[in-house]
Amino acid sequence: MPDIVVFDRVTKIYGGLVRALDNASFNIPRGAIAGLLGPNGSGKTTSFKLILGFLKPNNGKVRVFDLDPWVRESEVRRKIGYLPEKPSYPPIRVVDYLRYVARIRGASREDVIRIAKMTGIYKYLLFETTSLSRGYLQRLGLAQALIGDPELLLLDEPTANLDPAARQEILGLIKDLGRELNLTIIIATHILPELQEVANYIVFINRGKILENGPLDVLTKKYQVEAYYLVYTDQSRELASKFILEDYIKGVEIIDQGLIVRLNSIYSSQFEELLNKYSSIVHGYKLVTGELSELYEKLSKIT
Amino acid sequence: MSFTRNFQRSLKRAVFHASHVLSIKAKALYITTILISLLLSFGIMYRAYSIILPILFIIVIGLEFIIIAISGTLIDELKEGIAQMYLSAGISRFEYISGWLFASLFYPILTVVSAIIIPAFIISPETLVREITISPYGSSSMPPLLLFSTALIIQIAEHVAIAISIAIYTKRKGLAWFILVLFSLILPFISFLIASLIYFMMMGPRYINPMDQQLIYSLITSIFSPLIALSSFPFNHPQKNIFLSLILLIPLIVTLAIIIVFLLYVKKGLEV
Repeated sequence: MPDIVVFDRVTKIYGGLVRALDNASFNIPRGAIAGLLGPNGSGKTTSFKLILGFLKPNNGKVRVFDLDPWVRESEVRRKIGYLPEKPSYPPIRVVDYLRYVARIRGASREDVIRIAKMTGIYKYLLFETTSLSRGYLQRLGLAQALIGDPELLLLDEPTANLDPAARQEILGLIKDLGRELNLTIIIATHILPELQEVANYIVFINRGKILENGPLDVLTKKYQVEAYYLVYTDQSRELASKFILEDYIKGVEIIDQGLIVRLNSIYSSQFEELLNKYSSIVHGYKLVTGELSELYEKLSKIT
Repeated sequence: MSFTRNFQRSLKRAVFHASHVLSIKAKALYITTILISLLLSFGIMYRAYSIILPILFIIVIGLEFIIIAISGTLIDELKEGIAQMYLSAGISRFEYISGWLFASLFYPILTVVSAIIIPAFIISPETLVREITISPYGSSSMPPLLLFSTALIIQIAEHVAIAISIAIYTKRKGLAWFILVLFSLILPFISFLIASLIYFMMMGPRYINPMDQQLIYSLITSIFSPLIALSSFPFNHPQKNIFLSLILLIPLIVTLAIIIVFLLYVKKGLEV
C-alpha cells in the first residue's frame, strides 16, 4: 500500500535553538489509523504542522500525497482534515464557520448538514462558536476537519481536556470514522490506553527523534510485548482447558464469543500453529494488539 | 495559462476570505462608513469646505486607529491559532494575508469613494466633477477634493501595508502598534523637521527659493504622508503638475514595494 505521509531525515529547528525534530524519518501507509506517540514536547505537533505545510523543514523532505506540502500547500491541505489540540475558532455562528470551510473545499451546503449530524453538532449550528462547551468545540473541530471528504485526518490530542463521557464519545466517533469512511487517520497523543483502542500503526517519537515506527502487530512481535488473541469458538471451556496446559500462555479468559488469550508475542507463531491444530473447534482468531504501554516502556529503555 | 488560472483562483479565494473577514470583524464600521460618506457628500453638495476639511482630518485619524486595531486582530489570529484553522481549510498563506490586505483597504476606500459617488445621485455629475476637481473657493493654495481623496486612499493603503507587514513579521502587537503610530501619527508631523535636517545636510546653508524649499519638504513628507505633503504643497509653483504627480507617485511606489516584498516573504518564508 503506498505511503500517504513520508518524512525523510527531517529536521526542524525553532529560532535557531530548539530542535523540535531531529533527522526524523517515518512513513504512514494509506488506510492506517496511526498513533504518533510521545511525551509532551516530543515533536508531535511540529510533525503535524510540517504535514500541513505550516512550517518549512530546515533539512530533509516531507512528502504528503507525494507532494511537498510547503510548496503545494493549498492542494495538500484541501485533502487533509486537521483538528488541533486546542482549536480556536473565529467568533461567528457554527454554521457560518462550517460554510466557510465548505466553500474553500468545494463542498456543498448539504455536506455541512450531513457532517454536522454525523458529529453531533447539528443542534448547535446557529450558536456562536464562543458559546460552545469544550466537548462541542471538539465536535466542531472534527466536523470542520471532515468537510470536503478529506483523505487524511490529523487529530492532535483529540481527547485532551475532555471529561470522561465526552472522551468516550469522541473516541467512539473516531473509531466509526476509520471504519465507515476508510480514512487514513493520524492521532497524536501521549495517552496510551486511548490509542490502544483505535490505532493499528505506531510512530514513537521522543525529543524530536523517531524511536520506531511500523504496524502495531509487527512491533509487538519485534519487541516481544505481551499480545492478546481473540479466539472465536463455541467450545470455550474445552479449548481453555487445553490452552492453559501450554507453558508460554500467560492467561485465558472466557468471553461471549470465545476466549481472550494472553501471551508474549514472541510465541505468536507457536500459538497460531496450536490454533490451526484445533481448527475443527476454532472458528477464527485475531491478534487484537500488544500492550502499548509495555512497548513504549521497552522502547524508552532502549534509547 | 496554468499560472493565470491558478492566480485567478488564488485571487478569488483571497477576495472570499476578505469578504469573510469583513463580515466578522467590522459590522459596526459599515454604519460609520455610511455616516461619514453622507456627511462628506453633504459637504461637497453644499460646498461646505470649512466642514469637509476638519472632517477629513478626523477621518484620517480615525482610519489610522482602525488600521492599528486591524493589525492587532491579525496578530491575535496568528497567535491564538485561528489563522491555522482558516489555513487548514485549504487556503494558502498568500491568500489568507492578501484577504486581510483587501479587507483592511475596503472601508477606507469605500468611505472616500462613496463620499464622492453619493452626491452624483443628487446633483448633476457635471457639477460634481467640477466641485471635486477645482480648488475650494477657487483658492490657489488648497488642493482640489479629488486630489485630496486620492492622497488619502494612497496614505491609508501605505499604512495598511506597513501595519500588516509589521504584524505578520514581528507577531508582536506592541511593536507593530508603536511603528504604526510612529508612521501614521508622529512621523508626518515631524517630517518637516526631518526634511529640514536632510535638506540642510545635503544643501548646506545656501540660499534657495522658499517655494523650491517648500517643494522639497513636500516631496520628502510624501514618503510618510501624502496628505500632509499635499497640505503644504506650493500650488503656485510653475511646475506644480509634475510635482503633484510625484507626491502621489512616491508613496504609491513605496506602498507597492512594501506589498510586493511582503507578499514574497509570505509565500517563501512565513511560518504559522
